Amino acid sequence: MNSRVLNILYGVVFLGSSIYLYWVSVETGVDARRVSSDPMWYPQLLLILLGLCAGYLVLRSVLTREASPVQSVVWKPLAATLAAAGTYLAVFEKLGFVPSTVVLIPLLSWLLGFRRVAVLVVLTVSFTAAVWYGFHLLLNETPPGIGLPTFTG
Amino acid sequence: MDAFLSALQLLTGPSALVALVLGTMVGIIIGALPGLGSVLAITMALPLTFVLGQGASIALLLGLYCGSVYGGSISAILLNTPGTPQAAATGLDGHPLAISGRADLALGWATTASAIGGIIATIILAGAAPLLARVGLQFGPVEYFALGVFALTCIVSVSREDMTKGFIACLLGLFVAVIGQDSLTGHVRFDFDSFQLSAGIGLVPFLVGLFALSEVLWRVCQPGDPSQDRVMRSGFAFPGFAELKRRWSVLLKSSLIGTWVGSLPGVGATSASMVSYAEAKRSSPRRADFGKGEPDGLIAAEAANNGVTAGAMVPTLSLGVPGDPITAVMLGALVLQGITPGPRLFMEHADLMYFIFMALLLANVVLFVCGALMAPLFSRILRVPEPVLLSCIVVLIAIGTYSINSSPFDLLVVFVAGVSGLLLRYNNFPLAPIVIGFVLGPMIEESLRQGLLLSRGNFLGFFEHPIALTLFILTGIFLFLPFIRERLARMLRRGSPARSEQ
Repeated sequence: MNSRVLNILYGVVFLGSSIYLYWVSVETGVDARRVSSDPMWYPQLLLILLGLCAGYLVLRSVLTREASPVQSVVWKPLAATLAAAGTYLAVFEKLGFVPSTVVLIPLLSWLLGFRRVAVLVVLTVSFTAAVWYGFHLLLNETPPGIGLPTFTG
Repeated sequence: MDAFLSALQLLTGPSALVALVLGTMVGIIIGALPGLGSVLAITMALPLTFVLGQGASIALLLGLYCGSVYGGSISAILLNTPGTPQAAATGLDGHPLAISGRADLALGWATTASAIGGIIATIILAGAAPLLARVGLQFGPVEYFALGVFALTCIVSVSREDMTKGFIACLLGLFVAVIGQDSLTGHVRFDFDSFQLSAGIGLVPFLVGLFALSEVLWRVCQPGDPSQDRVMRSGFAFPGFAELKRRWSVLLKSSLIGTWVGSLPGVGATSASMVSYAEAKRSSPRRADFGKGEPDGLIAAEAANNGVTAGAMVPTLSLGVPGDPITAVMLGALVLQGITPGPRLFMEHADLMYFIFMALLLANVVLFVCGALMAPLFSRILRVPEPVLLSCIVVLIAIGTYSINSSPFDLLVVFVAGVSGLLLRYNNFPLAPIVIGFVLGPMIEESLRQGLLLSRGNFLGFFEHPIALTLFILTGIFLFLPFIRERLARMLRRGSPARSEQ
């Protein structure tokens, strides 16, 4: 894929989104006599401008012959980070801060290529404890889930 | 006098002082780590402002701002990899000085120039901001709308690679800001029957996702940088008062350039340090040594980029219009604290203004002390393994955002904004216009609709206001300047072969 194809793809997505959102705004809009009191007038104006810019991006990319290679990306660590971070954010409240964090730090560090187990263990325990106590004692905000005193007694 | 004393009392309180010192230290560390930068440092600290008091929150953010801008110079000097884009010019002379065996002196110059540049700029801010605020008092909704549009155009016009993408990014930011309740009519917009969306997208989860999480995702998918393997030992050597006296003119001129450039919307610290470096090279009697480890080059870059910190606060505080993403996040943080930056701030919260001026001054002094004391640790900081660092950032993002409302929806916003930020970065869409658009969006919409109400729905009536007209003309110039410049360059390119043939 080159930059030209990518620009067309992004342009089409933005154009499609702006048309869909404009349609939503028309469906749910209120009938106001003046534009200044119409809550949907300003968002509609933004969506028209967005649609025009996206359309221009598509048109320009279709008509141009110049195309540069897209930025190189290493997909494996990205997929691993997306999965790990997404799961962490999803289970953060239900599982609690301490259990989810002691799994995330070593797992993500390992997936990203850091394999020194002893350092990982020490770092995970000390960082989790520091953040928990920092929020609990200094900021008066207890992180969700079971607290550290459950483990330390 | 009362306002001054109450500001002094607030600043010398333990919470504000501790927040300022900690903010500066953490800012230096984050700034030093290549690629993380000031915006990440400040967005990560945003959730903390909910639990800290007003004074401590502002002190923390200012400390982080000054510390992170200076911190970028450390990796520029020791690794020749700028920690922040602002420090790009620092490495030009800082790294050659370091590899000649004088890394201590290079860090000494960077620290001293950063602190002095920041202090000079703060003194100018204290004088200029009230004057600009007095002008701002003449602003009505029409003028504010014109100013908002002007600020956005400036940000978009510096999207050098592609202005269309800059405009799309800006419109995305403006649009995300309209989700939720309309402030004028109470009508709920684009909530898709979701209770959480009806309250709008929160500033903190949106910015933390867009900048901090997308930064983590972006860094893991970039090919590795072996620069960490070649970190040299670091220390601190004060250049001496005689040397400072010899180079005072470069220090002063660079600080003034930084302050001036910083006060212009959209230009930023990177341009300031480059302009200052070029000017120092042009005017220095030692210009032949530039690029080979000449302290004048290092001073010019560092004094200017730290001068920007106070310069950028001038329009932010006096008009309520941020010039870059960092001040946009700061402006958002002030609004979260119940403070509305703008001309009235000087009349209604004079104590707060004194507090900001004094905190900025103190932050630069703390920066000098921390820079000197922490210098031996810099080489160790730069050796922190990136995978561990990025994992810890993900944890801080989650706990920081969740602690505001204890809402899993905020974590979802963080994730969606993070992935969106990554996709936009992948195709070279600038993120700065999204932030500025998001922060300025409500002000632009409100002033546009109020202006239309005043002019009875006639937009042409906006051009009858002289200040607004001037701002619209400036907007037009900024908008078309890149096209004119490109045309001229093309014409010159076409003309040059013909000339060479002759």
